[in-house]
This record gives sequence, structure tokens and C-alpha cells, in this order.
Amino acid sequence: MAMEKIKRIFPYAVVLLISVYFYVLAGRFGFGAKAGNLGPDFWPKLLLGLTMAVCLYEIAKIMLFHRGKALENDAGKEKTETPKRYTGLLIIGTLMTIAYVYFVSILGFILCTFLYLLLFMIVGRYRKVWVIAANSVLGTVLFVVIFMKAVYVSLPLGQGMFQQFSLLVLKMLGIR
Amino acid sequence: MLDILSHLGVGFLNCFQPVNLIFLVVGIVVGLLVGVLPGLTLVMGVILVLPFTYAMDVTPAIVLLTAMYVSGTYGGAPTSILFRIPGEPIHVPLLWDGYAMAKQGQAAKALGWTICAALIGGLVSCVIMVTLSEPVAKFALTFSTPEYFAIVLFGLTSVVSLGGGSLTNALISLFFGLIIATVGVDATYGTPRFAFGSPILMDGIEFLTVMVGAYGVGEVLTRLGEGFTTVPVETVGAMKTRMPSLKEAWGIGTTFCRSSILGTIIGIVPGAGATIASFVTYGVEAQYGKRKEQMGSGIPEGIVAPQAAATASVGGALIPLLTLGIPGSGATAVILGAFLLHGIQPGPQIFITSTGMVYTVFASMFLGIILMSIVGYIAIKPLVKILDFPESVVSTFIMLLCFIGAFSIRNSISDLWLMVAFGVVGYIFEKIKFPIAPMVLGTILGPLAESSFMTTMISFQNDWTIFFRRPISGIIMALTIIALFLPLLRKFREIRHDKQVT
Repeated sequence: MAMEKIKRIFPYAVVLLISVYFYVLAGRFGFGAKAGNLGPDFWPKLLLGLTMAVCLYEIAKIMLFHRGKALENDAGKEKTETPKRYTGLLIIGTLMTIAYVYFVSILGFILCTFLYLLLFMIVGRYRKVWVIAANSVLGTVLFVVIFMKAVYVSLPLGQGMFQQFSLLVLKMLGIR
Repeated sequence: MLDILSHLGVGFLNCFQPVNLIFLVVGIVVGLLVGVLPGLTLVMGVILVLPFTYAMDVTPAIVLLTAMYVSGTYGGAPTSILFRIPGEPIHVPLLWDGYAMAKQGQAAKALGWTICAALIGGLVSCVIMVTLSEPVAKFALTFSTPEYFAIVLFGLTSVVSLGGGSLTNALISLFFGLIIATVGVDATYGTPRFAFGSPILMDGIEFLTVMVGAYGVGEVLTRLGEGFTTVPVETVGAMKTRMPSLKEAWGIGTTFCRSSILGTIIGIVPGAGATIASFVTYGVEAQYGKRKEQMGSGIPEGIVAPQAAATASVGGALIPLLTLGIPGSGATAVILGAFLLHGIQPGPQIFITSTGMVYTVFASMFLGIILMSIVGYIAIKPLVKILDFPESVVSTFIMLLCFIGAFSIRNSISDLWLMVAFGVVGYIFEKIKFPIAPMVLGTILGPLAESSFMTTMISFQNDWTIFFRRPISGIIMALTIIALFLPLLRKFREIRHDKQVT
């Protein structure tokens, strides 16, 4: 029962703490407003104050009025409706996405995208190797042609030898 | 009125120019596909297509996006009716009567009613949109900052109160979005706020980055956590569409009229989009319809009401976007982004400065709705077959489009980091049942809300009563208060009803 309450309060408590931190930060803005005029801190402070008030209200509601019976019902409901979870895949997928953003400026869009497409489809439990390979190659080429040749988006080329590789592929595709 | 008709005539001629026509067709087809795929929402689809429009002229770009928006409101209907798989939340009400009708062996008829509803709802809303837009724009020229603030506040409140679910969670989400919009150099004093010395944060956080992250990346991560479990589609051999006869349609004419008008009105309210329109009109039909007792058992009214309203909401949502520069929904926010990327600020002036473009978009809506109905009628089989496409492959390409979309806004890797961060936020919000839409709307409308509020305060010597004393803003503020108290009233009625039952 107490654990359930803590679980429910947790997100509001986190939001409350973050709001307090940002409220303090807003109080430190340096500006020169005319006397009597609202400064640039007013609007964010107003919003953060409202956020804190809503969080406090919700925490108080859970602490004071939350009934055990309702909780049991909710928990029971969740148990029957929750589909199978794939937390491992989710973590790998998220890490891969972060890695893509980190490596795209080093490896360049072409190589990094090819690897990302290849691995993300495998992580997504797709097992037809040739389809994955074909999709990764053709997808990368298609996106490079569309966005670099037609839409003129300057996608990252990478650094050092990876840049040389990107330039070579672009030359082969007749771009630049 | 004659002026409007003559501009619209020119708009139709412009629509038949090859470039505009091609993008209209592409928009309709892509919108239908987006509507069918359960992992790809309508807003997400419009966001993902946005980078393709960078090199286009503004007119075909807006034609493409609005065509997608229109057809996306219909795309998921066939899969809802046939397989109980709603491609979009918009189509959840179709499960109740549409699927029930299909189970009774009337799938073809149910599909026919859906097309008919989308066609009539869409056309009615287009007529209202064309008739109202220019007068509203002229009227809006008299607006000052208090009126703008009141309208924005009304929009923000509506998304919270109409959205259903927890009011506190929706409010937190909304405030979070509004706070995101304060990041960067303040427009009035030039003070950096919450930038932490980062050059990219000094420039502020683009609402498109937030949308791409929260809607795109967040949704893909959510589905990855569920293992990309694609539901296999059963045989599509006997799939046909049978249109209702004129007599049958005339028989439920009231439902058509009521839902189309209500859908348009809901679309006009900033923040309330097709999903809300679809649910609200189904509820209205269940409460006031001629055959309200039979709703949910597989009757045409249960299909017509949500579908007509969903498609009608598009025309409604374009009115505040074009006349005031205020997006009425997630998809119109992306269209606003497309306008801004092409150097055009929607608002009352657009009817003076870009008349040709505006009326071409209007005309494309009429043509788009007719075209959507034809494609929906003919291509039902291949459309539904799209569901067989492996979700992991589709999602991988969605991620790639998200990367390109976020990167190309400012050609900055930092935006990719922000996008991933908002993707994680979107995922967490999904898990802890915080709605994403208020956050996104807060990010979009935040700068306008703050600037109109601050300007009013400076102009009227911090007299906040000015919002209530001016006639137009006063009325809108009163509506805002009513909208905010609506969920409380609803809750009170539910409690009273429960007490009466027990």
C-alpha cells in the first residue's frame, strides 16, 4: 500500500524538484527592467509556480485521499491488459540511437546511417538478412540522393578517412 | 462573396498546374498509407514529410502537407472496420459500430458509409472554411495583444480540458511545454534564459524538434519496448466497398449535418483536433441521435458521426492557422512550421499578401477530399495490404526521417541531441500517462502567449484586468474559464450519477 503510494507520488515529486531548481535559476536572470515593469523572469516563474502547485495538489491528493481498494482494482486491471515487455530491446535501441547521434559527425551520414538501419532492424526482431541488407543499402542511397541532391540538405560527411569514403560514395552517386 | 468565389476559381486553376497536382496526389496517397500503419500517426507522418518540402515552393509544400492531413483522417478507417486495428486514435470510435457492422457481414457497406462521411464532412468543412476565413481575417486585423493572449490561453485550456484523462497530468505537460518555449534569449529584454551557456539553447528550442522527438522517436521507442508486434492481416480476398444509396444517406442527413458542423467547430478550437472531434461527435450522437439506443450495435450513424467530424475538423483547424497564425492541432503546427520555413507568417495579412497561395490551398482541399474518396474506394485492397509490411523496417525508416527532419531544421547536430532527449521524454510521458499533446502545443504557442502577455502588461501598466475589460478578450476569457471548469463539472456529474445508481 505504502509502496504503491510512493510509486504514484514519484513522478510528481521529481517534477516538483525540477521545477524548484528551475525556479531558483529563473531568480538569477540578469536584466535591466524599468521599475514596475515585469522582467523576463516573470513568465517562467509563473509557469514553474503553477507546475509546483499542481504537483503539490496531486501529491496531497494521493497521500490524503487515495484508497487501497481503488489501487487494487487499478493494479488488477493493469495485470490483465499489459502486453509482453521487451525492455532489453528498448535499452539497446535507445543506446543505438544515442550512438548514432554521437557518431554521425565522425563516421558521416552515409556509413552511420547504413549501420544504424542494419542494426535497428535486427534489434527490432526482423530476421530476413537479405531484406535487411538490401533495405539498409538502398535506404541509405535513396535518402542521400533525395536529401543531398534534390532537397540540398548538407548532411554530415564525417571526419578523416570517413570523410574520404563519404566523398567517394557521393561522387559515385553523381552528387557535387 | 464574389471576390472569394473568384479567388477560389483561380485557386482551382492553380491546383491543376502539374506540380501542384502531383503533390496533391502524392499527399493523398502518403496520407492514406500513414493512416493505415498503426505505428505511424497522422501528426508524425506530416512531420516526417516536412524535410522533403524544404526545396519546394511554398504552395506545393502546403498542398502536400494539407493533402496528407486530410487523407490521414480517413486512412485508418478501413483497418478499424475490417480488422479492429485503428491506424489512428481518430478511428477508435469506428471500432464500435464499424467493426460490429463488419461482423454482421456488412463490411462493404460500412466502408461505403465511411467514405461517404469523409466526403461530406470534408466538403462541408471546406465550404465553411472558405466562407469564414477572409471575414475572420479582416476581423482579426482589429485584434490587439490582449485578444491574442486570450485566444492562445483559450486554445491551451481547451487541449487540457477536452483531452480527457487526468487534468493534473495534462496541466503539468502543458506547463512543461510552455517552459520549454522560454528557453533561449528573451525577446523583450534580450536576457538568456535556461541556456546554460550553450549556443544552440541561446537560439531557443524549435517546436519541430520537440514534435519530431516526442511524437516520432518516442512512439518508435514505445513500440520497440512492445517488440514491434505486427498483427498479421487476414485474407483480403473479398474486400469491397459498397456506397450507400441516396435514400439511405438522406435518411441520416441530420447526423451528417450535425457531425460535419460540430467537427468543423471543434477543429476551429485551437488545440482540439480530429481525435477529439471524432470522440465528441460519437458521444453527441449517442446522447441525442435518433437511434441513440442502438449506438455500438453496428448502425451507420456510429460510423458517419466520428468519420464526418474527423475529416471536417481539418477545414476548421486551418481557419485559426491561416487567419490568426495559431495552429489548431499538431498537424497544423507542422504546416505552420512549413509556412515559417518558407518565410511566410500566417495571420490576417496573409489574405492580402499571398491571396493566390491561400486560395490554391483551399481549392486543393476540395479536390483532395474528392480524390481521397476515389482512391479510398478503388484502392482498398492494396491499402489494407500495407499492414503486412514489417513494423521494424517501417520504424527504422521513421527513425531515419526523424534524424533528417531534426537535423535539417538548423543543420545542427545539437538539434539531434535535443530530439533524442525529447524522444525519451515522450517515451516516459507515455509510460507515466502524461499526455504529449499539451506539451507540444505549449511549445508551439508558448512564445506567442508570452509575447502577447508581456506586451499587454507593458502597454497597460501591469493592469491584468484589461483581459476581462475589453469586449472580445473578455468573452474569450470567460469561455476559457468555462472550458477549464468543464472537466470538474463533468466529474461532479459522474459522481452524482454514480451516487444515484448505487
